[in-house]
Amino acid sequence: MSSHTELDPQAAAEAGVAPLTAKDYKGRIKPIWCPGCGDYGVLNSLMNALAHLQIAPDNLAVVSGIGCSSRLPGFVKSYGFHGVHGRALPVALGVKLGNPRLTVVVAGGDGDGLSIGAGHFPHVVRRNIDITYLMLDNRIYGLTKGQTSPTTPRGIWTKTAPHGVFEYPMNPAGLALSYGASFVARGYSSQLKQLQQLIVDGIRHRGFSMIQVLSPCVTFGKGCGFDTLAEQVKEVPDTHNRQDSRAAYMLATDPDTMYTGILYEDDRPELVEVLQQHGGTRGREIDETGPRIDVERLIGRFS
Amino acid sequence: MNRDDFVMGISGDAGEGVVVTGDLMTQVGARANFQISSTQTFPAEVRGGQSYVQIRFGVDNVFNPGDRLDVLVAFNDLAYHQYKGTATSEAILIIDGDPEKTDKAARFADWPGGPIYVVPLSKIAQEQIGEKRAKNMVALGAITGLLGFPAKHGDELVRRQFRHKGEKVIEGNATAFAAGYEYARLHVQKRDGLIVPEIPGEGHLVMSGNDAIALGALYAGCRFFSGYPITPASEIMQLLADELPLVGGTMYQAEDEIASLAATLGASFSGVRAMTATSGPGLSLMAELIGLSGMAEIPVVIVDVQRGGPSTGLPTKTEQSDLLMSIYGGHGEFPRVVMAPISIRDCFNVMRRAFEIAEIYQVPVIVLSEQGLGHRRATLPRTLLEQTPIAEVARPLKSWPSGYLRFEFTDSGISPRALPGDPGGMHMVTGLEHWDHGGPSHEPANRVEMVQKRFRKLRNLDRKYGGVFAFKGDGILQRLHATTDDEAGRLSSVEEAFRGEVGIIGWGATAGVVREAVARAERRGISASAIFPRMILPHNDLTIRPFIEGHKRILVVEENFTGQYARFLAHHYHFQPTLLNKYDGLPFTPDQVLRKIEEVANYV
Repeated sequence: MSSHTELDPQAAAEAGVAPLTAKDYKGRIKPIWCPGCGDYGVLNSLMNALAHLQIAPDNLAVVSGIGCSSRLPGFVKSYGFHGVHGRALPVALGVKLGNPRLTVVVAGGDGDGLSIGAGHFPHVVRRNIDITYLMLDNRIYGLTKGQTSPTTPRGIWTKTAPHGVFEYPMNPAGLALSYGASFVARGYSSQLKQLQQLIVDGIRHRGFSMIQVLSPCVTFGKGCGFDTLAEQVKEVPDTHNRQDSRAAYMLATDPDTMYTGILYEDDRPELVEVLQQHGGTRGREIDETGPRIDVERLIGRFS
Repeated sequence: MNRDDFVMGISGDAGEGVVVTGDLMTQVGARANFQISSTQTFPAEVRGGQSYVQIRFGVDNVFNPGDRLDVLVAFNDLAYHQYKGTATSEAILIIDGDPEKTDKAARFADWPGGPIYVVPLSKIAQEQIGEKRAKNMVALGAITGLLGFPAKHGDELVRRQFRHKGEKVIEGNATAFAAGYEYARLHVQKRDGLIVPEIPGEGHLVMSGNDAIALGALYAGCRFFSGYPITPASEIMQLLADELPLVGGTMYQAEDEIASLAATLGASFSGVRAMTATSGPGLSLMAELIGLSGMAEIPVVIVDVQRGGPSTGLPTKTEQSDLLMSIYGGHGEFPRVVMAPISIRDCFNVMRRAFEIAEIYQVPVIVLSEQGLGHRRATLPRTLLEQTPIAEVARPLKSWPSGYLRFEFTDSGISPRALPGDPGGMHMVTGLEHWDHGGPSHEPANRVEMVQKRFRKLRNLDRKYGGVFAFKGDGILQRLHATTDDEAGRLSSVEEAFRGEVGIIGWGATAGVVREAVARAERRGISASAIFPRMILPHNDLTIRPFIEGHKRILVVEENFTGQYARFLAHHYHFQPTLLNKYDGLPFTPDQVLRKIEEVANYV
């Protein structure tokens, strides 16, 4: 089985085990983000979503790259993998293929995912592997203290753009759509309830789910367009057809409004399921009853 | 001519089917119980330029594809002119042409060898099946017939080769083979003494070095591979793409080498034995993640099938020039292991050790093969696959007590590793310096302890795994290994291979050639011996020092320009070895090494 494993609350209650609450996902390390950082909202929403889904921490892997938001695995009780800059997605893919029973959540920033790691994004998308990618978009390099990122708006001043940013910013949700992701959503770190639900839906989605989370940087993000975000943010209209990728793209790239909610979702074969249909990808579950090397066949092949 | 040990060259334009002819000829020989070593060279492009296969057939002791040709099969005159210079004075030439119209004296005036057989390969192909392209199968039949190999093996192998191409192609090629065989038996008057002996047995396996690495990994319990296509390593990925799903494993073709190693580390973190394979350019891209493996203590096996470098270099040619990158490459300091298999059989065996070391010590293990080994083929006994034990791969869930520390300080430096899914073992791994629980730490005292802990893991590794392959003049391979000072003393005082005039140290695929050169030197009265450490890093001083001290002169043989292993040894022992280097993209031949041994011996 390739999807995540939810605990059964009723069975837990009968066994006298209290259901997991958000607190049960508190990691060993206290977050080191600046006070007021949007990432706190994302972390809380994630913990609430995990509690809602009753995912056991020992069946949860949280993978990240490098950056402020990539510190997240340390703050969540789980099997965490804080790797190198830009490589969170291929690492997460390997984690899932290594043990398909795990729920795998990836957290990373706009620089990690769209600059140094941009080459991995389309390829993990097109495999449609069942992992959930939270791209915490703060439109700036925060950990290195204020350089231009791939989503920094034009015209503003950064430490590496003393005459103003010249380049056009990338649109994370728009990119995910154009790469053909099977689930694309956008959330906002100040809208906790909605974000929690998006994460729940993303984890439940059978396939690759990408959630762009607008998560302002309070220290270096001034001028990054977040001051007007409250006015710009609007929920995806009820009339939007989530199976209509073109309509989703129009919403995702709207120049004036930041639409939040599920932009697109569809149901299509998922990588691990396909691999398992051919007998492979049994992860660490390979056991005595599993397939063995057919020595006679190999001898035939090489003689 | 020695029918118990002879060398055949097959050459033609790329696209004339030289390689497939060579492959099938190798398998014909293997089924006739010959020991074989064969090698191929081809241009980087799929068509155009010259292709060449060299096959050595021997009753026993075949360690390399040889040097001088006893048989040259040329598909055209250009191919003839390119390889005629390597023929012995008795060599047979088999060449395409019309025997009636050919003026041999004029056309082959510069042939240094013996009998010439002009065979109408193209004409037979055209007449029999209306396809000149099938001349390579006519040639295969003609060689088989001329040398007296049984026809049935060839027929079976040709049919198997084309089994996916449809009935017409299968029958056409089988017919072409039969026609070539018949022509040789009925129309060629044999004027040489080369009739192959009958050797008892049930036939050998034939494998390339790349095949052997893939199968060795499979037997070692590897169940995850991620890679990116690159010459000359791709065959490892291709074979595992077939085989891994059959045993519940996964082959994942990534978008680049960085993603390959990232996914491999992810899978290893999840508890599956995982590897990647690449060549030099890919290893360069992986450098940062190799450091992560060292820092986060995630086991991984990385195979580098080296090719001519730097940059794109010589993609289809051989070289041993990634050694220092493997030993020192990457930023920062972390424990790692570098191993180099010495033969195709050792490609199979080394993988077991590589996975074992990676898993126990939680370090990256780099295995250095090379094009000349990866694309070379050799016969191996069936028992290799029949009798080698298959590693256990099951990883049942394990519960961990509260207070579990992933990077716990221990005497050995090795910390217990909980795997995702294990109840109670939750932790984070990170490339940041970290506390024993995995959380990031910049604290100086902890930093010092952690660096020492990680390097402590290597402390006895050289003694445990650092044996050498040793060759003395008799050509016999010994595996020698000192784990204590006493044993080192015993090597000096007892082992003949550890004393003499010329001591050769090499690594990797040159072993097969050096082994023969040492034996030939002995026959010329020169006392020479050689060692090849399979594990290059950590360096086993206890075994290698007595060898260096026991010889008047040390010769380091390497396929590179700068003498990378010689520098590494000089760094340890503060001495200047004599160097024999080659960086033309082609492997050494026994003659080339022998000449250097003689030169050094005279100097001694």
